[in-house]
Amino acid sequence: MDLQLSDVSVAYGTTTAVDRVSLRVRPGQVLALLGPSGCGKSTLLRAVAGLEPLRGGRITFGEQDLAGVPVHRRGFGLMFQDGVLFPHRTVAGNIAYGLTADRATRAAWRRVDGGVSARVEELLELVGLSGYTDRKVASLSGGEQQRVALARALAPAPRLLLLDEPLAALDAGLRDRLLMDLRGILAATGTTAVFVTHDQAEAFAVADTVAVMEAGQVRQHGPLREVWDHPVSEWVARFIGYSSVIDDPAGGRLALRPSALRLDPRGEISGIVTGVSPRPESLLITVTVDGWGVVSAVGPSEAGAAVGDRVRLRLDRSHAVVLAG
Amino acid sequence: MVRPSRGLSGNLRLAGLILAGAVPVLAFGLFFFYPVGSLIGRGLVGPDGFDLSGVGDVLARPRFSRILWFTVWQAALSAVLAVAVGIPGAYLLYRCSFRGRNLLRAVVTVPFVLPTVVVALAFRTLFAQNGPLGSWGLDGSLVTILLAHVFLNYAVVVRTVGGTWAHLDRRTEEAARSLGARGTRVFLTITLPALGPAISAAMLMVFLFCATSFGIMLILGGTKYSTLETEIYRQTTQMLDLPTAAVLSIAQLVLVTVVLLVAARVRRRTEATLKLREARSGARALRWADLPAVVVTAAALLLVVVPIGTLLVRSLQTADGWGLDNYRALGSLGEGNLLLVSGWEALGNSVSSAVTAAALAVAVGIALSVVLARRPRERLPRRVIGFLDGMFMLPLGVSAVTVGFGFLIALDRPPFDLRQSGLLVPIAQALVATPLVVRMILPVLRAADDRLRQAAAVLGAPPGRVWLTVDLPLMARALAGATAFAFAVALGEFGATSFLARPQEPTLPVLIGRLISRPGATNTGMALAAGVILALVCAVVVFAVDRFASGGRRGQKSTQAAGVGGMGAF
Repeated sequence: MDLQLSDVSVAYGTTTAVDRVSLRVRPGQVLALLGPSGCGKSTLLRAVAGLEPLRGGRITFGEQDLAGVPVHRRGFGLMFQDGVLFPHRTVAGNIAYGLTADRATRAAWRRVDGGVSARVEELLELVGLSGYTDRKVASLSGGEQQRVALARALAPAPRLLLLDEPLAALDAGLRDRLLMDLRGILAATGTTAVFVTHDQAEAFAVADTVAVMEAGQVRQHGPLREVWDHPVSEWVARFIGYSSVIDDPAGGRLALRPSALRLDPRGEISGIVTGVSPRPESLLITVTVDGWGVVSAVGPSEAGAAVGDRVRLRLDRSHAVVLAG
Repeated sequence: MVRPSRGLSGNLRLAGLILAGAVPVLAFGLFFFYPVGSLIGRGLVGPDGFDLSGVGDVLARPRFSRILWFTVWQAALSAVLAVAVGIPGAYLLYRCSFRGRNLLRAVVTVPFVLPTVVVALAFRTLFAQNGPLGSWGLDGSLVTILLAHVFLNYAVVVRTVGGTWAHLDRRTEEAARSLGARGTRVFLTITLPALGPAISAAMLMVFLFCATSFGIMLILGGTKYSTLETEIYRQTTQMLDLPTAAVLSIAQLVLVTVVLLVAARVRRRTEATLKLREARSGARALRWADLPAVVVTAAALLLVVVPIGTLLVRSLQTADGWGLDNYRALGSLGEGNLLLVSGWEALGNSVSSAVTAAALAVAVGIALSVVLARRPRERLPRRVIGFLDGMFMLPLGVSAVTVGFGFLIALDRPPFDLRQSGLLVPIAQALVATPLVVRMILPVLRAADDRLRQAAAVLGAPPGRVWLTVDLPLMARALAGATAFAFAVALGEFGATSFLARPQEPTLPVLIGRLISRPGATNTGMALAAGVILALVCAVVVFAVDRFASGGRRGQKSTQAAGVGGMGAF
C-alpha cells in the first residue's frame, strides 16, 4: 500500500511549517526526507504519524484517508532522535509495549507461536542485542538505546516506519555502523519507511527515493540516483553535497563535487589559495578563481599548498553536473 | 484554508479533559468559593442590601492597620530568617556528601509534616517559665513565634533550594573558576543567580505559610500578637462580629492573591529551568571551607531537635518521676471530665477523617494535574489553564478559619446540608491538602517528556492506556509522597477543623487545643502525650511512604523530578 501525501500543510499559529507538500512512498521503499534543521521535515513526519493536525491537504495510506484516524489506530512505527524509551520498563518491557498496547493486539500476539516473549527475543536478535531482555534502559549506551527503540518500533510489524533523525545523537563511528545495520534490517523486513535526516550521506545510505525540503516545501523529489545526478537548483546541489557552483565555460551553470577540481601544475585554471584543510588521504583547499569566486579543490596530501600561493587546477567533468535551467 | 480536523477521538479526548477539569471546578466551587463567598457576602450585605460603609470603617481602625502591618512584617522576617538559615543547609545536604546525609535530610523534613498545634505546644513547653529554657524569658515573645516559624519552614527552604542545587551543572562553576574567579565570586556571580528562582519561590512560600499561620499564633502569640488569621477567629468566635471578620477575610484574600501571583511567575521560571538539568552534579566531600555552613546547619538541627525532644521528655514526666501516666490519661476524659471523648477516640476520629481527606485530595489533585499539565498551543486554552492553575492555589493561603466558618454558614442548610453527615471536616481538610498534592504531582507530569506519551500512542495505546502505562508510573513516587503528605496535613489541620468538628467528635489537634486552654497538670500532661502521638503518626506515615516509594525505583529521572518537585516545589 502506498503512502500518499497531497498538498499537505501544517501550521503553528501563524507560522507555516509545512507548505503544500505532495509525496508518495511505494510499498517496501524507503523515502529520505532531507533538509536543513527547521525546514519542516520532522513536522511533516509527525503529521504522518498523526501527532500534528493538518492545516490543509490529505494523507492517505492505501485506500484509507488518515484524517480522523487517531495516532494509536494508524499502525505506524515511530523512532525518535534519542530513543524516548520508557524509563520505568525493562528492555523487554519496552519492546513488548506495542504488542500489548490494547486488548485485541495483545490477544492477537498471544496466538502467534511463542507469544509476546518469542517476538521480543526475535527483535532483540534482529537488532543485535540478544540477552538484553531484562536490562534496565537507564543502563544502556546511546547506541544500544537506539537499537532498542528500533526494535520497539518494529515489534508490532508496523505498516509504515517513521524515523526522525534516529542516528543524529550518536557519535560518528557508531552512526556508520548502525546506519549499515538499519539498512540491512529495513531490507530484510521489507519495511516501508520514511527517514528524516539533515545528513545527505545518511539519506544516500538507506533510501531508495529522496525528497529535499527547504522552508516547508519539497524542492526536489525522486529516485536517489536521479536527484544526485540532476539536482534541480543550486541550493539543492549544494545541500546534497556539491561543494561549488560555477558558470560553465561552455555555457550554463555547473555544480562541482570537491573532487571535480584537482591541483595540477598543467591545469588550465589559475587561482589563489585562501584556505587549507588536510585530510587523511588528501588535501582539501579553497581557491579564489577569477570569475568564479571561491571554489573547493583537492590535491594529494603531499602537495605543499599554503594560503596565498597561486596554484593551477584542472576541471574533471565526470565529477560535475550541469544544473537544469 | 481548511480548518484543522480533530476527528472523533480528538473530540473524545477533549471531552475527557473537560470532564477531568469539571470535577475539581465543581468541587472547589461548592466547597470553597460558595462558603467563602457566603461569609464575605454576609459581611458586605447589610439590612438595606449591599453596604460598603463597613469596609471603610474597619479599614480605618488603628487596630486593623496594626494587625495588617504585623502580619506582613512577621511573615517577611520569618521568611528571610528561614532562607538565611536554610541556604547553608541546602548546600550541605544536597551539594556535599558525608556519612549520615540521608538521615539528616530526613530529620530536617520532620518539622514540616508536624501539625502546627504540636509545634506550638513544643515551643511553649520549651520556653515556659518552668520549662528547660524558661530562664531566657522568651515565653509568649515574638522571638518564640519567629523560631517556631523557622522551625516549621526550614525544610521548605532546604528542599526547594537543595533540589535545584543538586541538579545545577557543576561545569558552569568550573568554567567560571577556570576564567579566574575565586570561590566567593563564583558563588555570587554563578551559583546564586542560578538558585535565584528556587530561593525566591521558597521565600514566597514561607511568607505565605507564616502570614496565614494560625495554630502557632493562637497558642504562642496569646493576646499580645494578632495576625489577620487569629483576628478573624477572634472576631467570629468571641466578638460574633461577622462584618468585621468578612472585611478582614477580604483583606487576607487580597494579600494572598498578590503573593500567589508573584509565586506563579517565579514558579514558571523554576519549572522552565528544571528541564535543562541532567544529573551531572556529583556531590563532593566536606572541606574546611564548609565549616560556616556546618555551624549554621548544626544550629538549625538543634532548633529542630530540642523542641521535639523537650515535648517527648516532658510527656514522660509525671508528678512522681518518670512514667507513662500521661499516655494512660489519654484513655480518660481529662481532669474534671473536661472532654466528651477520650484521647484515643479523638485519634481514631483524626485518622479516619484524614484518610477520607487524603483520598479526596488525591482524587481531585490527580484530575486537576492531568488538566494543568497540558500545554496547548492555542491561546485560549492556555489562558484557561493558567487561570485554573492560579485559582486552585487560593485555598493554600485563604484563612482556614474563613473556610471553616464559611462551611458552617453555607453548608448547614438546604440545598447543601452536610452538617450532620460528618463529611464537613474531611472536606475542609482535603481543601487545604489539594493544592499541596497538585504542587507535588504537577512538576513531575510537566517535566515528563511528552514524546513518551507520543511513543506510546504510536505503538497503538489508546489515551486511557497511555495514561496508565506512562503518566501513572512516572508520577508514582510523587503520588505516594503526596498521598502521605495530604494525610499528614489533614491529620494536623487545626484552623478549619476547630470550627467544624462536632463537640462529640473532636480530632486530636482540636482536643489538644482544648486541653491546653484549661489549667491542670493532668490536662497539660495529656496534651503533651497527645502531641507526641500525633507527631509520631505524621512522621511515621510520611517516612514509611517515602522509604517504600524510593526503594523500588532508584536512580530514575522520575525520582529526581519527584525529589525536586517534592513538597518544596511551589
